[in-house]
Amino acid sequence: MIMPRNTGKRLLESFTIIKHNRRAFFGLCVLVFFILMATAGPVVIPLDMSQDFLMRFQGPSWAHILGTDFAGRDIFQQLVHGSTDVLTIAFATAFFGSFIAVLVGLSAGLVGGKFDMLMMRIIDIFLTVPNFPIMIIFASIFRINDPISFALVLAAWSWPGLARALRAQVLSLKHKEFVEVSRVMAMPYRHIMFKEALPGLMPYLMINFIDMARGAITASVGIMLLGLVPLSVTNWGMMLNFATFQTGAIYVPSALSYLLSPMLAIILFQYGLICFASGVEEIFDPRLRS
Amino acid sequence: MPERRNIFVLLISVLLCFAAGAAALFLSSCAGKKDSGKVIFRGAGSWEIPPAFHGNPWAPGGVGSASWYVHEPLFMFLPGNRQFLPRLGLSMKESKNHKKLTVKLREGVKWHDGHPFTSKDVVTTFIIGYLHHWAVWQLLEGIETPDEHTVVFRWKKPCPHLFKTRALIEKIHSPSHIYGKWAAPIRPLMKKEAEYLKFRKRMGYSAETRKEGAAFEIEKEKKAVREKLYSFKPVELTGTGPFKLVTVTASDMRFEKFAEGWAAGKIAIDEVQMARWPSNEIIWAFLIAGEIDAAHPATPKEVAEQIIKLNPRMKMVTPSDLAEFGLVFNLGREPMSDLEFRRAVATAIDRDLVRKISYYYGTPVTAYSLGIIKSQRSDWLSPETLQKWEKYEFNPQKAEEILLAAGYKRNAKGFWLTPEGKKINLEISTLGNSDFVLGADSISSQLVKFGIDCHVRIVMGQLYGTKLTSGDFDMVTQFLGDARRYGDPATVFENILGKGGYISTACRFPEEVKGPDGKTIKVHKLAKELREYLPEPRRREIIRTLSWVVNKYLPILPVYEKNMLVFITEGKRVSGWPDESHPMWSAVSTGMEGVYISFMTEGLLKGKP
Amino acid sequence: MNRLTPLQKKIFTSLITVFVALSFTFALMRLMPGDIVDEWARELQVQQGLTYQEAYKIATTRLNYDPSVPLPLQYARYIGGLLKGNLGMSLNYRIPVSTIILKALPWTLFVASLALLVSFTVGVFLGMLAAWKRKGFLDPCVTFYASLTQAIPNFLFALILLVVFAVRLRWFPLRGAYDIDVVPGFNLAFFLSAFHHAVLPVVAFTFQTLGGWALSMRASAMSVLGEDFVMVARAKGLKERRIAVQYVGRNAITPLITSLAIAIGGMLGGAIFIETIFGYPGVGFFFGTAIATRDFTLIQGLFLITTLAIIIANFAADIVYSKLDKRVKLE
Repeated sequence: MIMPRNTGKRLLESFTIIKHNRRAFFGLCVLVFFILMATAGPVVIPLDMSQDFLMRFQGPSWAHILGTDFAGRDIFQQLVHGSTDVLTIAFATAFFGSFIAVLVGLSAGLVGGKFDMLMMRIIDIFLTVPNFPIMIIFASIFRINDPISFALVLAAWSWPGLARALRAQVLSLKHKEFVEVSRVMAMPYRHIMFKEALPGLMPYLMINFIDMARGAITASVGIMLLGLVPLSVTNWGMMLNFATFQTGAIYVPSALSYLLSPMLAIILFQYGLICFASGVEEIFDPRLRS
Repeated sequence: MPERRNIFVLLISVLLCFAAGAAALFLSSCAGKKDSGKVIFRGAGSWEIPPAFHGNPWAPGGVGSASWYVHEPLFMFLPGNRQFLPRLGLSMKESKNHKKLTVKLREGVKWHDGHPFTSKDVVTTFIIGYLHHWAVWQLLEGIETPDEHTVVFRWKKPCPHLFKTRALIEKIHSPSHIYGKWAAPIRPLMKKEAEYLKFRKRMGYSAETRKEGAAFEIEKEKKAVREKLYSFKPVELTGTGPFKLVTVTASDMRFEKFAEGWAAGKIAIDEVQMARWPSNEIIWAFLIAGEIDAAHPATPKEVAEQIIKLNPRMKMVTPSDLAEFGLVFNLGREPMSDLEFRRAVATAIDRDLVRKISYYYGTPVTAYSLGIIKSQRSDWLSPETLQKWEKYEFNPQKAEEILLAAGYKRNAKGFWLTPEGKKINLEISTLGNSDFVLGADSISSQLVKFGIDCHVRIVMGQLYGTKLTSGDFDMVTQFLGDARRYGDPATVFENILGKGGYISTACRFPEEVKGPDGKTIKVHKLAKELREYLPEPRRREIIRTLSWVVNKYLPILPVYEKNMLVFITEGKRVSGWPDESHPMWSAVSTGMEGVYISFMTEGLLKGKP
Repeated sequence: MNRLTPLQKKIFTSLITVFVALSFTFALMRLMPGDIVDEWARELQVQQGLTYQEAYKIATTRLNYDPSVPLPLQYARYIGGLLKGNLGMSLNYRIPVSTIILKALPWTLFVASLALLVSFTVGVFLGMLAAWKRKGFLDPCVTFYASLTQAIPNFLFALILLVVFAVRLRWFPLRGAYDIDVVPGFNLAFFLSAFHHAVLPVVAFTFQTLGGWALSMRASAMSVLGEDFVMVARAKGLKERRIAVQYVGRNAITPLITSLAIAIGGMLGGAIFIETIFGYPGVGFFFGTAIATRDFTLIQGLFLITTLAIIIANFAADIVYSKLDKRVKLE
């Protein structure tokens, strides 16, 4: 039983690194906050979606920490209850998307030759073929109700760009000493990919992961407007869409809170993740620590 | 300090960009913009951008909102007081048997290119209209020109108000000196088709196989003429209207007053400028800035109040759009197929709350579901009649009682189950327009609160029709009781109850239902009869019966009557907007720009005082 | 037979990609479910107070697409026309697709290239600086700026720009590509007007995308900073600036070139939000109407442009790699 102790030690080490990096620690706190919000939040804070015309567009108060929306419903409750799906979709999309991108990009770059060419052509086709008709076809056939399939649909369109960029980086890494040494030593591709090439690509990969996660929140609005999934008014992206388009909240001073709350949640989410990532960079690359 | 230098380079380039922008700003503001003392009206509209723009009103692409300023109808119809205002037509006379309608045309009218306007132009427009399946041709037998300034419409059967209006309010936009050559090949086709139809009538459908080929041939020939017509792409837009189109770009249109127009003496506006209508959010910005004088975006309450507050010259007028927003129920699917369940849903929804949240300026519809829109209710149904009919006012307790009596139960979480014990889960399908989405969301969350599990799904326009006809929905949001343009209940009931009607097909409404006295009501037949010319008492009787059917069997549930929100700026560039009581406002449902134009033509709208 | 050079091989495979992508698009467009005539019919029904059947009949006249022609034949005609350089006639507008593209594309190109150029150079520069001075003040600022701008919906941001600079301050025009009073052509007034009108759209786009480029560049530079050759260069006592540009920047920019290539292709599809908000003419408008009217030939023509742009840009990106990084051969 060496492994657990080993991973435990490494985890502890990682935590120390993050603790010493103020920004990373802030990021970690934000991340923990959001995870708590998505898991424990809905249990602790009840959601009351009953409408009250007289209470609409109220400013922040003790009764409504972030004020109320166009139908007099509490915004904070909606943010909390929306977070479960929003975060699941965001992380799942980013995970699936990055996973496919890493797999395709790295293998294409490392294997090279005909395989590389084929993969690149497939990526090019994914990049060029319009997704609008595909979405319409999807919308008329499928009814998606769970966040994971939702994320799969979103991920299907988010990986090709990253895959191509990763391949480009692998191509330049390929000729570096450590990779060439591994090749000469006839190490399996898997090893070269995950042990040698990947750590160097980590910062770039992470920023793209975060971008995909944030992008998924925005993109989920589009998918809802196409009718592929049911409308969810507590989805942060949809809240923002409602504030901007459906209720014209940008023109109404008292509705500022409805517009800003989901926006701030998204900003905090992304900023927190980036900060956290800056700590993770140091874990993977000791030379960055100072 | 190498990095410093980089920042300097960056700063300098940014500054250069701004300098270029400022220079451009300065020069372009010096370039023109002399105040010419002209009276200018600014509106917003939509059109296809160049190179898709052209002056052929028949061909796809083309004219867009410009049509209102450039083209005129024979008469303008005001649904409010059921009056016809003379435009290109001066007067009209119907024969006793209602099979002939004679229209005297205004004399001395000119097209923008100087040609005189005659009865031939009217005929040319209608003949080409035949090629485009104009609905008026269902009843129109022919159109004659006894002289240059008289047009006679001959009807196949006595003509009801609906078809008379259709003939009179079509814009006459095809001068015979330009479009005559396209109308010429249509005449023989009309004759051919009439002969064929007669033949088919005589022989019956079934005996007919050889001649169906003829029908196909006729359609093919029609298409060939159409395609030739569509390839005609004049740059000029020729009309008789009060304004001439001068310039079109992707963002702006500019019109000049037509000095030789028949109403030119009364029109005080020298120039019309039209901004492209991008989206309501931007129109609001334009309105606040005083950039445009009139527009009618669907606007939430708070935004409307904000616009009025920020622009003191702004006024708001809310004439009815002669249509109601509401729900269509799918009678072909459980549990919506159960009348008791529909009754419960109707009483469980606070319709006025939906109105307040999704379209504040609508007129609430709270008690009945009649098909007839609220503002026209008193024209057709007396209070005594209505008194006897069932009301569906918001009352969750009553809704609960209805459901319990019909065998529905609640589960532990408070959600309703069918009598068979299955959990009810409904979906409201809606198009993506913001007022529809807000309405659907409001209804859905009210139903959830009542214990009927419900969610909203947006349907793309292209998939909406298929969804409706295939019956793949529980409830959809829809414009009901749509009496736009003609203010006539015939089209309303045709849609809701008629055979093959849009809503009746979607909701699977039966052909016959049981009446109040136990006798069968043949719904399809009555809806069809309503479209014919009828003596007034019979017409009223049918409307009453059909209204009763809708209210009793609830295929639909209206929520509010839609009112247009017209924002008008008084005294910035133009002044003299009449207030809301002016009957001309009632024509907004026939087209907003038509109303603006009428105010100008009547000399009401003037320059700033 | 001579062996193909790598460059020729690459051109050949790129052409095949274009062909496959176009075929996919062709098929997908025609497989799109839904009844477009129904949509028009409902529109007409509302506009003209008709019954649905009446409206449907009228709506069918608008459709110039004959579904009875078998798909393979349509496909053969399409490819045949394409090989002759003929994009066909727009089904809806009945004018050549090439006319539409030639008229709309320059405006899109003008705004798109300007916006992309500014946002890419400034973004890369900021990202590089942020990575280089990692513990400095700039890094968190750039990150926060990026998070902020990316969370604001682009529509909202453009609208704010419009309200502030066009409605309130009146520094810039509200809409359009040039003033309606100037005559389009080779004259100074037109150019000035065009630039003046382009400022807000370009700024709107730049502010939105700048942060993304900066973040990518920062991350990419971080990967490179840890590399041995940077250490070596430092050890050699090379000037910081030289290390930053020659060693780090040059290597870090590689993956961004790919993203840039993709962005170029994407921009040619027209930034629809810019075009709607600023009433700017361009490809986006026609994309919208072509899809709404099932104007197959026009859609295909427009997608041909974006497809070619993406493929060519990626092709160029590959060549740029091999120039930036001598070790990478063109494969």
